[in-house]
Amino acid sequence: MDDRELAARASGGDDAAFELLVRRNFPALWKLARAIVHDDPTAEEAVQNCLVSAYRSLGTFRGDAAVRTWLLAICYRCALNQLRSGRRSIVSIDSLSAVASRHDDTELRIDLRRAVDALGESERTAFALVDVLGYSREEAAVIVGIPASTMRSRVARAHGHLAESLAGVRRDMAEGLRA
Amino acid sequence: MNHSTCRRALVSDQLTAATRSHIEACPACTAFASALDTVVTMAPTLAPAAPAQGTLERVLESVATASSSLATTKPARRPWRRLRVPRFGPLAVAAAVAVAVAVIGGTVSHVWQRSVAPRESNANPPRIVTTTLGVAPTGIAFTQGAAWIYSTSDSVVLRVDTTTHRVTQTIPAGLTPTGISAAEGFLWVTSISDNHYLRVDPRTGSVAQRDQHGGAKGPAMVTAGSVWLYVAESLLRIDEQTGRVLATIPMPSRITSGVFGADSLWMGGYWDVARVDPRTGTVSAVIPIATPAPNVLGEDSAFGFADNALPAGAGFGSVWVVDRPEQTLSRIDPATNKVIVKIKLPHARPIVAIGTDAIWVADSTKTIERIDPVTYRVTNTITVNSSSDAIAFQDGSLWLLNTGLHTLTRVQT
Repeated sequence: MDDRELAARASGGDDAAFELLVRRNFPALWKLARAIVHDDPTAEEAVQNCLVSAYRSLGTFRGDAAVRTWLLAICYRCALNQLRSGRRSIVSIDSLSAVASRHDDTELRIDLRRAVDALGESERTAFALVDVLGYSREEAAVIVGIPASTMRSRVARAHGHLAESLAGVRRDMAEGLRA
Repeated sequence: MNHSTCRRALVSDQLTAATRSHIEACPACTAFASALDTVVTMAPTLAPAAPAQGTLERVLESVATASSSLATTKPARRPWRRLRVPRFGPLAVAAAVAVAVAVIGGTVSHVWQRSVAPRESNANPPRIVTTTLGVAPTGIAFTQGAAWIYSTSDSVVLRVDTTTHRVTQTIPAGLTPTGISAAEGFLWVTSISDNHYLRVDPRTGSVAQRDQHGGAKGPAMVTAGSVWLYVAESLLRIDEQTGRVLATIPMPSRITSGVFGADSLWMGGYWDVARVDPRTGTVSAVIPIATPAPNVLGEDSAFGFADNALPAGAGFGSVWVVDRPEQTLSRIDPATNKVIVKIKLPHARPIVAIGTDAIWVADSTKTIERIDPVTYRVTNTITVNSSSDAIAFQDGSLWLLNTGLHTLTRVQT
């Protein structure tokens, strides 16, 4: 049974179908939310809000897009709301250290992460969707709800800023070594 | 060409010959191009880590709660009962009663005491009946009013009345029976040594058919019109009426077990589960379960590999597979053929039965645990008199076999 059929069944009151739909799409929703917000608890809240919202609007799903894309679009808006509401959950020291050890960051990756954090909201989202999560520019555009051409230019701008930033870091390092 | 023109061309991936020659000549733009390459290459490594275990269940629970409140404003939709009831059913009722008691009695402390009351097993102990069989039981199947138990070492099939729990019949099963199943009104008993399988009429206990189809290693699976046996790396499709082999289907690896569920046959291999479409007789998917490891006993030896991917059965819209050495239970979504959840079980070499409202896990200890299929939490622990070598769920009861003690234990859950 594909997602579309599950959504149709869920819309008719089949809650088991909705549960299966959630289970199937949860990893993608989580990744998107977590790429936008800054910590796990906020991402969890965003995904939760997304699913409540999706459950509520199942009857209005027209099937123009894939169910996953529809869910991702809702998730994107929920994650953005979380981010804008400024309700940052407290992350414990334990979980922070767990994150650090899990990624085993190299210096370069840390530099890149800092550079990504410094991007504006729209560019960071574009970069996260396309480069980090691997969606095409067209899919990313549908998720965010903007024209594909706008998404393309946002990705290009994000690339430009990030490359400038990394090149600058490298230059500073080289000059530091020379000094 | 200036730097900004060059960089715009780089980020929009519209390089021309002029841009390329500029990059080669300009150290700053070379550095920019290199950094851009790093950005694109390293971006996927920034992907968020998977959520912590339990996140999905918490989210599901929250959504279920929210959906029930939605239902009050949207009468056309029913509340999301399926998620709420399995986890909170008895406890919610207990809590509601406790709230009522607390409100009437004027004290809130009762609420808390009731909500953390002893587990169901202690509050309302299950009825446990143990039958001594006189043979070393290996596996079990059920028909109306009877449990049928085969013994590999004693080469018999026993009928146990499920009302009196007494052995009412003993049927010789040839040499080394290896499996028993009940389907299409008959019992099907396979044997590895005699190269036959038996079709037993459960009403009379008579052997209705006996065919030569070498060395089946586990219980037969029976779908409409066909009997399926597995022998080494092949799955045999046999005409139920004539006993003729209709097809020999090669499997990706040596088969160690198999179940029928979700309209498919699920065949456990060393490391994976192959899904077979019984209509076409083709392998429609191979789902990895365990991480392959070198076999220290040689490639031909199956020793130690026989229980890395054991399909336990179908239930709750999924197929469940046990990896006994790794102590995990994988939940496969038949719609996608993917493992959607892998649960770490706190049991050494677990055995699993799929119940009607829960997963039941036993091991070499004397305890059996009920696992909620939504939250994956242990919601009940039952202590029995002996450890379990096989477990099954039928008619609201758990049926446990102990090969060494020659016992069948029924636990009415």
